[in-house]
Amino acid sequence: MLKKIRKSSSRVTLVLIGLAGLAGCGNDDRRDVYASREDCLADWGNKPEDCTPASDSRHANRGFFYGPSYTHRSSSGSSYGRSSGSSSRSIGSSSSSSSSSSSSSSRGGFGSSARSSSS
Amino acid sequence: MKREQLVPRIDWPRKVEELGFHFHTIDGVYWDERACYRFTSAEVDKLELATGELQSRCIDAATQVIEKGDYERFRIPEAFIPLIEQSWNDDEKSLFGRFDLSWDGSGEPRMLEYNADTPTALLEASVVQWYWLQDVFPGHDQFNSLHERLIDRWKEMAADFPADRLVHFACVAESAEDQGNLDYLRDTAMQGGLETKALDMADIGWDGRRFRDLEDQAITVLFKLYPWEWLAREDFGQHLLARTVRVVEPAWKMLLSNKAILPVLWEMFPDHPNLLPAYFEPGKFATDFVKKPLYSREGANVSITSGGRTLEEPGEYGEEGFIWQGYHALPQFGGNHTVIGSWIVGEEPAGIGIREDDSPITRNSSRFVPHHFA
Repeated sequence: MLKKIRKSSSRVTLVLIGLAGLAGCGNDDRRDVYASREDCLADWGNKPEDCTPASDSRHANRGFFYGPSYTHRSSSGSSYGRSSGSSSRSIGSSSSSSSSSSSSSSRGGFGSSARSSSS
Repeated sequence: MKREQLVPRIDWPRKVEELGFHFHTIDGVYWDERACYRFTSAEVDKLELATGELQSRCIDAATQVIEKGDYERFRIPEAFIPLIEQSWNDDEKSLFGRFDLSWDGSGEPRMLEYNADTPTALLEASVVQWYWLQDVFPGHDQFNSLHERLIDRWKEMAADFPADRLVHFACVAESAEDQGNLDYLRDTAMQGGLETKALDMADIGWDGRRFRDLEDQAITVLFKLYPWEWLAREDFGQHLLARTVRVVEPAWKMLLSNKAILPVLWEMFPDHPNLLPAYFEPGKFATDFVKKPLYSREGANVSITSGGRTLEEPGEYGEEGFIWQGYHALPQFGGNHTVIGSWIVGEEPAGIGIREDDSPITRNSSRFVPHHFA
């Protein structure tokens, strides 16, 4: 009798995300984005100096807040200084150097629809 | 197909976060291993067969639309029709897609829709539930060869890419879910031998001739977790028409991700056992039907009319029009409405992910429940 072929992957290894790597649409120096100041404060130990109104054009007009800059640690999903013991209340994160390019290219021509694109 | 209750692994949050799965809790429970679904081998075979059949019929439908120039009902901006045809004629390869199926283990699986452009819930289907299987049912099997197939597909696609094999990956970085899915896809591309860089959609630059990343490097292949219909309407959309960048998913997937494909399929294959009746006109159904916007995600603006009552999800879609589909109630297991997301990688069935919701409309927050079979 023929042995039934398995339908699951024989091995699943990760080289970028998880324990071995980093995550993100950019570099790993980042700030978490929050829908409200309260969520930010709850994540960062109620220190008002850590939660500032978003200034980036993608976030500013939506009333979002940034937490402090940190180096992302993808192995734990947490960040230096963030309150432990619960999941983050952030709605995402932003690369803090994402607008540092000195190129002559114009930018911002994509992304304005800015709703979650998943389905 | 049975739903089984389980005691979650004690340290499951740490385990899944080690896999890069940081969005396991969205507005409450998202990854839910308090239960799982158990299939028989025959049931999995049936799902695989139905998924492959639907993929073939969708390719047939796209072929007919393109050959007949039948684009009007899709409400796609006219300027982008040549791009669709060029990508089709050049055989630009698709990476993946996900059918949403309604099935309770008996009869035939029915296609609710095809998420052919920006499907998500991939990391949890491919990686997280695979590791769950190793911990909880190590001797059992799972309908999930996503990881291997994605790596192999990237290798196939790389043959059509420029010699530097560099692919830029872009999404809306503020969405943790999108970012998690993008990171995983980038991981599989790297394992497929590609060079990769990541950036936010808003950081894509245009220098008058080429798209550029933040280091001014030309973007020649772009994987975007961002809908084509948004690209087409945004300021830089017109620059895509010059085809200086190869986009994954290819432009022809605009046809399959559009709900207009549902009535087109029904016109071509009436009474197909894996399809539901669907029409462009209202009034075809006397009683139970679902009204869906041509463009819609996560159940937004979908309304179900059944038993004289209408349930509608809010949203911002519908401007381009709607289609009407026969209502096929999702099966309920333990009071949960269950939908099966059945994946295609390349052209082949590759595995499933199961979502549950208290509502009959599957939403962004619908819980992901792992599965196994023996």
